[in-house]
Amino acid sequence: MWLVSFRDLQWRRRRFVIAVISASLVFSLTLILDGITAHVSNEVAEVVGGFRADGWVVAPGKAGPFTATKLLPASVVDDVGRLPGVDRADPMIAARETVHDKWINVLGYDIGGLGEPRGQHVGRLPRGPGEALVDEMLGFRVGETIVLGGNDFVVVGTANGLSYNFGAPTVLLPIAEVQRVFLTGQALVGAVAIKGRPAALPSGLRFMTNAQVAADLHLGMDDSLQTVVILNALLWIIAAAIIASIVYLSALERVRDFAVMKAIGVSDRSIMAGLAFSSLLLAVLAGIGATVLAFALGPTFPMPVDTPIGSYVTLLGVSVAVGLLASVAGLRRAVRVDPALAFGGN
Amino acid sequence: MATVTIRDLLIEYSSGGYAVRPIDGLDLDVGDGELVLLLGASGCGKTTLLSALAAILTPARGSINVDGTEVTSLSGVALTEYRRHQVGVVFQAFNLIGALTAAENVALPMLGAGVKRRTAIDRANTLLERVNLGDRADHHPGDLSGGQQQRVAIARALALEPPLLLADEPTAHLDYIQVEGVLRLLRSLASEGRTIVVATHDERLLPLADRVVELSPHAHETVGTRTVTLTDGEALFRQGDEGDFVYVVESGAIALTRECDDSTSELITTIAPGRYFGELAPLFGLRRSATARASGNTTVSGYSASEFRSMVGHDKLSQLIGEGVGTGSQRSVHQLS
Repeated sequence: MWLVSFRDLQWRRRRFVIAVISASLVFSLTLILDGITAHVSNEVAEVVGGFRADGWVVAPGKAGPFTATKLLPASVVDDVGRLPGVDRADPMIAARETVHDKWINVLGYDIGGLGEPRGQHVGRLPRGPGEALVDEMLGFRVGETIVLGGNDFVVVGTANGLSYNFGAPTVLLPIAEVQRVFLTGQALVGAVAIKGRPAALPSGLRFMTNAQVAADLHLGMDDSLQTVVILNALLWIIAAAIIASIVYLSALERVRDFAVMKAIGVSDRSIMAGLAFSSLLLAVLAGIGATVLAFALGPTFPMPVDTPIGSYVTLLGVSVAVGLLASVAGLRRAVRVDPALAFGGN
Repeated sequence: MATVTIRDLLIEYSSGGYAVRPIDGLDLDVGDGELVLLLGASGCGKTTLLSALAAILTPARGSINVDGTEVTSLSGVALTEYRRHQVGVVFQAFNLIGALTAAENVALPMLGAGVKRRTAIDRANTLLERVNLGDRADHHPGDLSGGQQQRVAIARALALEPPLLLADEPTAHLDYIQVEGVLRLLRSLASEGRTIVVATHDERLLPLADRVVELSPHAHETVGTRTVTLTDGEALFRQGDEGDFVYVVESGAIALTRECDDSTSELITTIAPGRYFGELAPLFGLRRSATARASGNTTVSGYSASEFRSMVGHDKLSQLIGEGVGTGSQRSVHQLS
């Protein structure tokens, strides 16, 4: 009986198209929110993994290398490097700055040490004072000047995927430059990135694994991520409600049709299958529309949207489920229709 | 061809909380290839009877047998199969599906029965040719006249070649030119040996029928008066009975009750001596809408409709009817008698 449902959709095509567009928009927002969530999770893994460290040594307390406000003397780097089980120790420091009215991250690393970017970039890596590698999100090109802490830095390279702290772009500087600009030249470091694993640490130092560092970075974003997850769930409900209301309205308007179909021997199962077909078609078309919209709208968002392929596949699966779920109210209405309604003069 | 045997049929439904029995104790036999008209005014149970024949409405009592199949006991797959293959229905309001073309509407029962789409559409086109609508196969119902829609509805009813065809008020929405076409079609279908039952209040269809079944209660032209003595609780008449006399309470009292759909009774009013009741059924040829029982030993006088009219006078009659049961006017009726 799919033909009857298909013809009915054609008959009410304006409403159907509006429903598909509405549901597509909502579905596309879920994809984009998925993409934002995925980016936030990915960027933490990338920034921590980018140091290629096995672990970290930080000051006492609970903060990690990227969130620490308690600094260590630079001499700690050599002390840690000499500990048994430690193959290599390099300093790092993180700071915050505003550029173009946006919060950005500033990371200082040892030239040639752990933390020096290894990924693809345009231009070259900083080799000395006054040079910076800048996140592409900031829009600088190689050769341009970026002002950090009131000091001019030449952009010698740009790279992709350097953000963290909920999509905030990052500028990488030699650590001495960070100390000069942000710490008035004091020989302090935020943490020591190490290769290997120290058997024990001197008092006043704390060891963190990469997982602990990542968890620490997530800590400040948990509420935001939870909000995104709740918003996403609400959007799914809205999409389901759109599909359900269209299918239910259609079922209400077709009560006489269903009565006639039953009276002439069309089984309940066939009627239900036809209605479910309408709902599924609406949901799947909305899912496809959402995929197109997400690709189109994603780049217009101020922060990167890394929607995983799995989300698109999930969307199709979930939209089928949503379509079936949304059709339940309509199906119940259709099944309850009394074929005796077909008789009578109205 | 199909034979239809109906025995002691009682159909009851609820209306406004009260039990209504449009069909009560009906016996009917329809032979192979007969075209039977169910004639009667609105509300007499014509459409209700068709619904029961179509296995859409289950009677409270009695049996309906179509070609050996006891229709009242059908359920599930057997019920669906009966509706598909044994009976075709032409609805009063055509009931074509607006989103489908004429051919698709005709193909609908076949598609519902699992016939392949191409085969169903081919047969639908053949049926539309047969009802002279071959050139309208791709039109939607909204683009067809009432007569054309009715012919599409007939073609749809014939889709699975049912031996029994039911038509509910097939001329209700048609002008006289369209009526002619539909009548010719129904007659030709009956001539092919198909059993056809038509519900109508349109007496123009009488020459079409092999047999006419009058479903309206017979307005017995009772004459004179009668005096009835009742013991406590004894029924004078029951809800659903045909109307005969208008009664006036001479002594004792009459309780008028109405049967509810939950098998209980509701007291409407108690009629005191000198007051009349039960005038509508005999005056208008309706069934009794309530049950009258004696409350204590009671004597009532019954007057025929014509005598009641003459006693009251034509001018006062409509006024009395408007006032209903139990008003002061009845004393004058009593005095006149």
